[in-house]
Amino acid sequence: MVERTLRLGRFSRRFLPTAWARVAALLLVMMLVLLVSLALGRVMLGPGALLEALMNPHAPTGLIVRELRLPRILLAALIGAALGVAGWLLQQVMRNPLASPDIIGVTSGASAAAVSYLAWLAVPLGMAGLPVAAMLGAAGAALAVYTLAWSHGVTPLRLVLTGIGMAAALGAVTTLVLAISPLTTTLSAYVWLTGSVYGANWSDVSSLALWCVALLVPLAALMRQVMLAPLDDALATGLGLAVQRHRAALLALASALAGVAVAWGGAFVFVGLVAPHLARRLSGYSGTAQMVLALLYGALLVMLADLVARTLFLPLDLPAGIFVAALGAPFFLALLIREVR
Amino acid sequence: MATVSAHALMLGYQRRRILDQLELDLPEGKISVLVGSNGCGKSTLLKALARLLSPWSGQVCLDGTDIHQLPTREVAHRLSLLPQQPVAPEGMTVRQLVQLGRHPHQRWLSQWSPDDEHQVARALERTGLEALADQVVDTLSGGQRQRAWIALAVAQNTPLMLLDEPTSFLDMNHQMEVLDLLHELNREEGRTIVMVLHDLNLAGRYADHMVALRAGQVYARGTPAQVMIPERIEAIFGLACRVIEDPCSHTPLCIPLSRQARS
Amino acid sequence: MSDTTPERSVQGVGVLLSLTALLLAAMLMSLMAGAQWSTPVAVWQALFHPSGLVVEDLLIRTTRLPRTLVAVVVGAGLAVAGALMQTLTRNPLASPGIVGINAGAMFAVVVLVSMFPHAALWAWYGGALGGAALAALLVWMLALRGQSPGGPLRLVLAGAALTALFNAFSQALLVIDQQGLDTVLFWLAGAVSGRPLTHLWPLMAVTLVALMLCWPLARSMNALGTGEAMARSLGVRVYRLQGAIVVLVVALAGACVAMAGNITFVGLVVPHMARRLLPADHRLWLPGCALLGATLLLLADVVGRCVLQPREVPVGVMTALIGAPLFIVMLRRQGRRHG
Repeated sequence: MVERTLRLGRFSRRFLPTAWARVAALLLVMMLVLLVSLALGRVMLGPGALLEALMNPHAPTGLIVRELRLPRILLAALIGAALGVAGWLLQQVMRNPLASPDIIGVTSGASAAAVSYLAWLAVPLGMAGLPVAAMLGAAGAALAVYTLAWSHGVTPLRLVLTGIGMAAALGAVTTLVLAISPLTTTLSAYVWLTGSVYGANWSDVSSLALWCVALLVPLAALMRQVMLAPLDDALATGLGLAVQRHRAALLALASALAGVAVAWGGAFVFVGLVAPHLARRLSGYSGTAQMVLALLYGALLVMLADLVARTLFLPLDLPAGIFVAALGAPFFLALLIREVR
Repeated sequence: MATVSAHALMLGYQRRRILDQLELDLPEGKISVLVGSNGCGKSTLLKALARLLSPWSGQVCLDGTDIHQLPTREVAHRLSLLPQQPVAPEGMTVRQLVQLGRHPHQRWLSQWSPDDEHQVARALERTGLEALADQVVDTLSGGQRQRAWIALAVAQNTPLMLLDEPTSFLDMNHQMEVLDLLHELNREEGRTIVMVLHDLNLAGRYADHMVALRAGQVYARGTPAQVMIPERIEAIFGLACRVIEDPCSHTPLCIPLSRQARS
Repeated sequence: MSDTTPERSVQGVGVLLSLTALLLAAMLMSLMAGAQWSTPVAVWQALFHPSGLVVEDLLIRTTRLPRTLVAVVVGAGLAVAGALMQTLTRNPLASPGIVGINAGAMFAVVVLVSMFPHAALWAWYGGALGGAALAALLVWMLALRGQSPGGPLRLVLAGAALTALFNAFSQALLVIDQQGLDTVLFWLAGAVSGRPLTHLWPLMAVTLVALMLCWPLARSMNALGTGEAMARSLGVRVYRLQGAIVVLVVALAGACVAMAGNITFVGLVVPHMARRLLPADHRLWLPGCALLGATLLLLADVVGRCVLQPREVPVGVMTALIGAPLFIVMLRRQGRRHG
């Protein structure tokens, strides 16, 4: 855990070589998972066949690999990445390693909106509006939580508690819609609530990628302020941070990241909770490396979950969310229990 | 050099008024100590001086300019603050904590300049924490932990330091350790130090300038010898006492009288 | 928690009597309410002089009476479980719903239903109890153990994380097992109707016994309110008392979830309301919680029956829709008081 310094002209940074080594290792693992995911499925491909499917535009399996599997894997990675970063950011701002995007009402807002859309609007308007509805729901809920928690500024405690109240109310709305809508809607709603990347296409991937880039750039610019977020308000003010303004900005970024991820993939819970925990181990107090690690762990978790969901019970193609919970929960509990010790 | 002053300051929580038309200015390059009984508003005043609270009316001035008109980062170049009982994020080491003190001096481009490095090393040395630099803050003793927080303020390298009860909950030896350190910072580096202390005798020993608050206003100010006279102490704390000279430091020493001793 | 002067006690008993009257009125209302409202006379007739020929009698006796009784027992059970948790953790935000115990019990039932679709009722109850106990254990490990038990926030967040965990698993199972989904959906939403009383009486008996058992502990709980060390010096066997409270909470929450599914906020909000009405003495406060919880759940059920006719809104949805805003208002009040 030795920190190094990097200076180039006026540019200067501290960095932790071990953390960046882990970033590199994770990237390698991700490439590997990507290749395996491309090869596995209802049609199994050997290395040679996979190469041909990727390179040769006229290969018979090219369509499966390039138009079905690749966008699906990339969408999974993007969703996981966005949720991982959102969760990490929230844990910094809330000063608590147990915070997750569900806490500030983002997931429940998106869920209530998406389920209502599925119940009443999916037939007349088609499925293309679903991400929009979910995003609006997420934004509305996050804004409502922030406003209701405001009283001479917001504090993490009040924010979390208000978020829990809001999540319960919106959860009730979701349940209500589920209970009074026909069972066919209920099932697709449950799939959405579990989280799934089934049927992803390239336009989904490019839209979500654009959103992620648009949100990660300002976050990278604010990284110094993110690292002050875990301090007391008084200390942070003393160090020259405009606490409330930055808190609002960071919360908006986190909500937006979680919101877009949920909009395209459904209510994947846990990614935002587990990925930052994995990232925080061994990465010291260095902000950027931790964020990148949370991003990569999140992406890897959803990619793996979708791989398992799509191949383990062939010919069934299950929602990836099931396995995010199944893979993530034991990890999460083990980490937490060890931390408490 | 930097000074902080308050003019016609009114401030409180909810409807309750804590500070009432308070006037204050503090000498540069000295140790000023705010004293008073519980609830007299001394911590509130310190928070207002550090711009953590906005006044209802009146103003707090830093070098003659209203502190709320200045960019908060600009203020952080001139004034550092150690709140009461600060909490370090879990698992943070002393070095990481002290590095945070460089925040106001950094820009997006330059986040670890040679000057940052130098100031952090100097702060660690100044506070005698070099050997403990890679320890996790939570594992330190009370006195060491408080020194680490002071090191953060030292790394921030401001001419003015505000501290809210830096010795509370510390054993007597650790109280002395912290106050001696602040004394050195003042005498050797000329930093202006403003702090709240609840122990009148320690305040008398270390203060160049003592400000006694009562009911939200400045009741008395001056050298400890001017403020610490039995009648004034009785008015400030409601405490009958006798004042003698400290045989070691020759500062005033307040001996509280028990009910039996009075009668 | 034992600042009870004689006058306050008398006043407290008065409050309890009025709450009892309120509960009786709510029960009558619940027996009357439906698509077609019955008159009190008809209710009286149906209960005490039933005629096998009148449809209304049958409706009241077989549909409204069971759900009224279930709502009373479940409301009282959940409210007291919440109150007990708040005493145990000395944390005003604790309740079985918030810390994930309800979600644990539900998860266990969902597992049971998807694995053994024809499981008997006692198995549901056993499952719910086991799930509640598991969740209690986990929350204890996550939030209450260790050197720094870490304030109200840690408990709440640990509970939220556990709830998310259990819900994720429940949802996953339901997606895989679509038939199970059909069986448990309405129950998941929280409902006091739909099952005959003959199947429920063991659960109601357990809940009632657990409620009774609180009484002899109430005085020691008063002492516990002053802190563990203080309670010990007052001669309370603290560990034993805490253990007893945990068992009671798990039994109450498990039984209530097995009976009525996911009903939130009763355990959180009712103890606060009762605290405003009654002196801080568990001997008065706990019965007050029971009465108020039962009354509120009945009213929520009546409203749920009426607002969206001909459909019914599950009572768990109603409690969340009423309770969550109340909770937020409570928070804002508190925030204002503390600046």
